Amino acid sequence: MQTTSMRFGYRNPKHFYPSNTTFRQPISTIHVIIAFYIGIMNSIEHENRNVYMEPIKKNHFIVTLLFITFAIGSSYAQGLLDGFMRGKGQLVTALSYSHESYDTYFVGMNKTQNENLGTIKTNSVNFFAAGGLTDYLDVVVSLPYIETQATQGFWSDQKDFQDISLFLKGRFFEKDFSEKGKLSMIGAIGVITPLSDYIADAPVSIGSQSTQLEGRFIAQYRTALGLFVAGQLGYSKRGNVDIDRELEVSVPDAWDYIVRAGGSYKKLYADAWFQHQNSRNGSNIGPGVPFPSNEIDFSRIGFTLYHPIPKMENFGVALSTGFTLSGKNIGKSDRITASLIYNFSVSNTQP
Amino acid sequence: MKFNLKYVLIISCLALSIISCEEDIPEMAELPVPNSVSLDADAGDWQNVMKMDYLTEISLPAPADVDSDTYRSELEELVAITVKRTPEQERKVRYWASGGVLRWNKILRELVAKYNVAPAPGSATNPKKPVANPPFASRVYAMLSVAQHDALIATWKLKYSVNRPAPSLTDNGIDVQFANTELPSYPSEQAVIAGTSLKILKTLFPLEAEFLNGLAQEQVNTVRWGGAGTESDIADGWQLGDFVASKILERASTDRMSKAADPVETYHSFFKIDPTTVPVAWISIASPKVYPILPMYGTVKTWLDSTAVFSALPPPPPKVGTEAFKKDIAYVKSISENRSREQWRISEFWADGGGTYTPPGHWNEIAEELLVKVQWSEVRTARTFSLMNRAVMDSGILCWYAKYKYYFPRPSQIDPDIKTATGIPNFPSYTSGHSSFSSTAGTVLGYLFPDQREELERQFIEAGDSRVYGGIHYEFDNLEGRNSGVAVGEIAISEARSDGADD
Repeated sequence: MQTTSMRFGYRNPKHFYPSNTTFRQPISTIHVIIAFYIGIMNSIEHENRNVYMEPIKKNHFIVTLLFITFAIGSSYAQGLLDGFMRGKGQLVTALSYSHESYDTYFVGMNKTQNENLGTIKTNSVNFFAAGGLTDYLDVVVSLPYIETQATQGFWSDQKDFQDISLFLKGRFFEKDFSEKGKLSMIGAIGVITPLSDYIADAPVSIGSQSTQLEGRFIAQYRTALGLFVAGQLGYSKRGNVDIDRELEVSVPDAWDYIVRAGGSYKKLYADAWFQHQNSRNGSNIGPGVPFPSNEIDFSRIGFTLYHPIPKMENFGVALSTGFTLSGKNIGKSDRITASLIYNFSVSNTQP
Repeated sequence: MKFNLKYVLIISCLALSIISCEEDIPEMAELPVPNSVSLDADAGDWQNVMKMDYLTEISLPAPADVDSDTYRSELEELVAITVKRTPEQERKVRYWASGGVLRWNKILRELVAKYNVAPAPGSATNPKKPVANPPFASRVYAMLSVAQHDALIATWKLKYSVNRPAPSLTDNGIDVQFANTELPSYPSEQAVIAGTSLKILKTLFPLEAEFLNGLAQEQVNTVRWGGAGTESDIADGWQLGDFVASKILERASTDRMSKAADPVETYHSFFKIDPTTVPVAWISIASPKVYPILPMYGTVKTWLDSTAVFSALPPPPPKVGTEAFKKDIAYVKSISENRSREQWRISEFWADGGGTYTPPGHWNEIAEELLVKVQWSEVRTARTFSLMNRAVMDSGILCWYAKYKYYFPRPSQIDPDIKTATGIPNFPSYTSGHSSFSSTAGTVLGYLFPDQREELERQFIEAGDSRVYGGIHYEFDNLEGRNSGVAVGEIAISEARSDGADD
């Protein structure tokens, strides 16, 4: 919260500072409910998109499984990666459709609803592909098209291609514990960058326009019975954004971790996960505060189920969900995703 | 066990580089310290806004002679202060030396942004915590600018009648931070600006009194630290500034602003809003419904000649359902259905909604950029803001009068399928406030900066268009707002031509 000890006059008007260094801060975030003049200044920060896939090797036959916990409308794409490697020449592709909605959101930590927005509904289509360059190195790409709208009030819908994600993922450690199981450790780096000039600073928007660099570390332990547990830690460095009102806005960086447990078998994959993101210092939703500068935190849980399509070799379907438990400057959204998955090999050296 | 060292190296190096690269946003904008093209030595003879003889009314005692002991001891004090000037003090001297008028304008813009927040629904109004909506803001910008303008004209009059040279010209032991000009030092213009700005702003934003007082004290201290003025330069300057501000506040107490909010809804009968005059009346389309903003603001006292201003009152808008109306609402709808990215950008760029400087403040920012380039004297800088902000306030008054006289519905009230790129302001549509404020500001600035006229015109046209692109105004709101706004700007220019500053 701004105090009068702040030195307005020393600030550069062309820049916007989040949080305690912000020079345009709301007096009270509660007042957001009816911002005079603008009418509504409620942000919609979207959910994370998790596209998650996983192949497993069983005997000498490769079954590539994929599960998708794909949250639409997200600006941020942690959770794209899993603890499994594709294997050289193995590719998995997925086309997903997601629906997400919320009528409650957090202004700061306060739960709020707004009759001038109603429910924010988001539909999206995502293309995902992951392939093994070697047995130890995968490349992962995701490309979403997003459409979002408010059910009440008069804010215009938004739709466009959002941010492309491109990751390189390398397994640097793997240890077999004979019959019992296998421990693997994976590091990844990626870049996430806008594909279109969508609007970043509006109550109904599809993303923040920030180009992000992300580093992740994943550790996974899998038993011989197919049960696994995995943890991952990520840090996302988020670049400044130039918004339409000619401010350069700092987008807070964020840490996140994901814990996931499940079972991975030839004909079935199921898991449950928990994700928590904690942004570094940013602003709260408020009148005049550019949305990309908001500090976004959240905790979510979700479930995934995958099954191959009978009599259609290499095809599978996945169903996944995600629920926001708590958060800060984000919608309390629920999401459901259906995916069609196709696995194939481009390598002649398949065992 | 496999351990692929090369991946470890690659990944950890990349991860490190991600985390270590810090984005840099510069902390503070330095404005250049102006080296005035002209001192405007004759500014004491310019016509002031209130048409008052402040110097006679205040009757300051004659300042001590430069040879007097009193003044000598003041100079010695200044020597002592300037020789032990710290780097932090130097930084502040530089900050204020770039222009007290410019700095206070920026401070006010930030205050407006802070107070430009709607109260929670149903909450009681708190006079200590005003809502800095555009009409309110335009009045504050005008009041501050007029106080500075009038106070500095009086200052210049006094400077050139007393003719006390800069302290360092009398005592070369004073370690000045910036070379002195030929401008006489009594009274200190920085102290005048501090005294007058503080008085205006702490009256309008009482909760900020302590913060504002700190700024004013710092500004006055930089006169000492920089070696630019002595105690009597400062004390009398402060007193003069404070006095002029009290006159502006007196005027403000009777300008009918106190009735503008109109909580008991007298405006319906005042503007004779009934089905014979207004077949399709405006209604609030916010949820829940909100009482409109300052319905009686159109009756607030103008700065310029009110007969002239009201001769620019826009004609009635086309009636809902007529061909002219259908054509314009179809245009808004076509934008709503097929808004280009550029139209979005323009809509957002000029929106200046809650939590911002407001449109009048945006034009103060534009004026600041122009003023930084020309580096005029403090008094001419003050006149620039005063001319523009008075005209902008009057233009807003006229616009508000039209809004409640014609009480015209917003496009989305008639056709709820019209979706917007900006919030729908909670008051009638005709005419556009943005068009009115902006065309007036741009017209006045075009007179003061003739080489920028074309660009300013492009800007004010774009500002008006932005509301149509946003989907919240008809083209006739925009065009009639622009016509009236330009007309009010022209009235301000004709007054400016005879104030003595452009002779």
